[in-house]
Amino acid sequence: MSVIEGEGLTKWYGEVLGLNRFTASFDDGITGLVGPNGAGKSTFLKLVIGQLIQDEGSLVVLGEKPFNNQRLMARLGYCPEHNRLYDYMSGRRFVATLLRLSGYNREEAERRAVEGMKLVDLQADMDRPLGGYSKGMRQRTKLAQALAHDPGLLILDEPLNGTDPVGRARMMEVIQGLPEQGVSVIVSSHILHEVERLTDRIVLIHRGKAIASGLIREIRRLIDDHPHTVRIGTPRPRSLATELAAQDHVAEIVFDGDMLTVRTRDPEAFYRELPGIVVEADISVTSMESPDDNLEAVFRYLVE
Amino acid sequence: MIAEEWGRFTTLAGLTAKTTLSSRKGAVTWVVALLPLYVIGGVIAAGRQVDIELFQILILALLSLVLVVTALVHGSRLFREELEDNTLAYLTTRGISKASLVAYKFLGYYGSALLIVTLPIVATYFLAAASTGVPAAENIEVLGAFVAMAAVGIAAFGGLFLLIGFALKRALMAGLLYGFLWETILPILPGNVPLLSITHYLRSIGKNLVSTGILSQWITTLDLFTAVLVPLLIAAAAVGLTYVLLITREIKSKD
Repeated sequence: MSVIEGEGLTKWYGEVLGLNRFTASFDDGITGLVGPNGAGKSTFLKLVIGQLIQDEGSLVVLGEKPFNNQRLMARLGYCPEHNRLYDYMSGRRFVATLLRLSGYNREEAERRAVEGMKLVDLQADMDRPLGGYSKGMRQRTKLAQALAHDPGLLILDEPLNGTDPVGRARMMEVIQGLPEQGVSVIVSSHILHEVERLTDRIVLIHRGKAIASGLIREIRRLIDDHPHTVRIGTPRPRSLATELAAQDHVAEIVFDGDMLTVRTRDPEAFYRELPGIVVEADISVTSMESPDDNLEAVFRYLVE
Repeated sequence: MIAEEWGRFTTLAGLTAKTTLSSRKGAVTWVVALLPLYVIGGVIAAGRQVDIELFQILILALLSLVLVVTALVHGSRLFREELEDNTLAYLTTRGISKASLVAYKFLGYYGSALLIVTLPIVATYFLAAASTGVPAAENIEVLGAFVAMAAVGIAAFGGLFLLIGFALKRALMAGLLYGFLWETILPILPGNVPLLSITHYLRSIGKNLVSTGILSQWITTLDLFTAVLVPLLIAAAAVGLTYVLLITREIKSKD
């Protein structure tokens, strides 16, 4: 079921185009909104939470138009990109205050605030002023306030920016568990592997346009004819290049010090044959990575 | 439903009042609001009695400054700080209506700003009465007049500065020009021009409530009802316009 339907959304900031006929549908579950900084992710999310209104096109969120729709806003949870909070409040007071504005009575707001801060592992710090929180703690507090009133749709704008590894793992765990509780999640990020760890369903946005959407593997099919890239570290790059150049499927080899960047038209054959080649030629391999193995490659190919 | 809305009111108005009374800017306005106490306390400490005539002159001289500074600092920041800090989205993505958002913030400001302005006036009045030995109840209408002027002025100036603070990025500069140029010059111009200033209505309230001293000497044809009603209507219109801006304008943050 679709939770957000955007059709031909265009948004201008004066003479700057924020969204350019952006068309995408977001289903329930977790969907990643992925694109580089300035691609239009935050603009789109601000349309969803009714903070901005589109110049052209239509937007339907949970079956309703978002601008000036307080009833709809009560069903959303929003975690903004910036880290501004009410610094004079404690984390617990901040979450409880927003719950009071959502209509909860004092006792229930307090109970939910404590639960929310516990959920993001901030119970030890929840009575400290927010002004003393680190970036990662602020991110977790924003997640707690966005979730505390049981929203049906959670909008997370770059939620993992500035988080420490432990906090990041906890946030990912919390976010991944939300669909089971009936909460749909839209998570934006410019760090592609983060999104890939949260969901396999993405919308790619670039220069205000949705350039691809769907399952990552489906998007990969779009680029099947594009050569696959592998970077190999070796103390004998020239010898290894000579061996690899003899393979039919190798399209290009680029030298970069002790690294070789190899582009192949048949990744399966490449990975199958490489061990035999290096053993036979007695060439040691110190590292091997494929930028094509992550979402970054899909994104780069589509925008090139 | 009523309980929910009451909870929203107490939370938002209480939060606004707390920041008005205890923030760093709140401390600055307390310093300004306490001016009458310093001045009259200083006069008494210098060995001079402060009779009701002198009390009127000193308070009247300081009231405009205190009203404008308090209303400007706290009225203009009600939404300006939320807009500049990008925190408004935390409030607008809850169940609270935008009408309630504006109204509760304004009421929170009103109660706390009124406290900041009137407490020093009341304290000063009793200090002055004690210095002369005249029973405090004898000139209570003078105190009543100043409190009424403060109550109406805090609403009217606060409403205008709320609107200016929402609509303009340089709200403080615009507010200072309005408060200290417009409201200083227009009330003393001839003809009907003073009707364009809030100060004229406030002085008219004083004139209608007090029969002696400088308060009674203001030239006005306004009766008490009109003098109170017009500034309150200005406040209501400004708060209403702020609401209209909130529901029609986009919230463009800096991130």
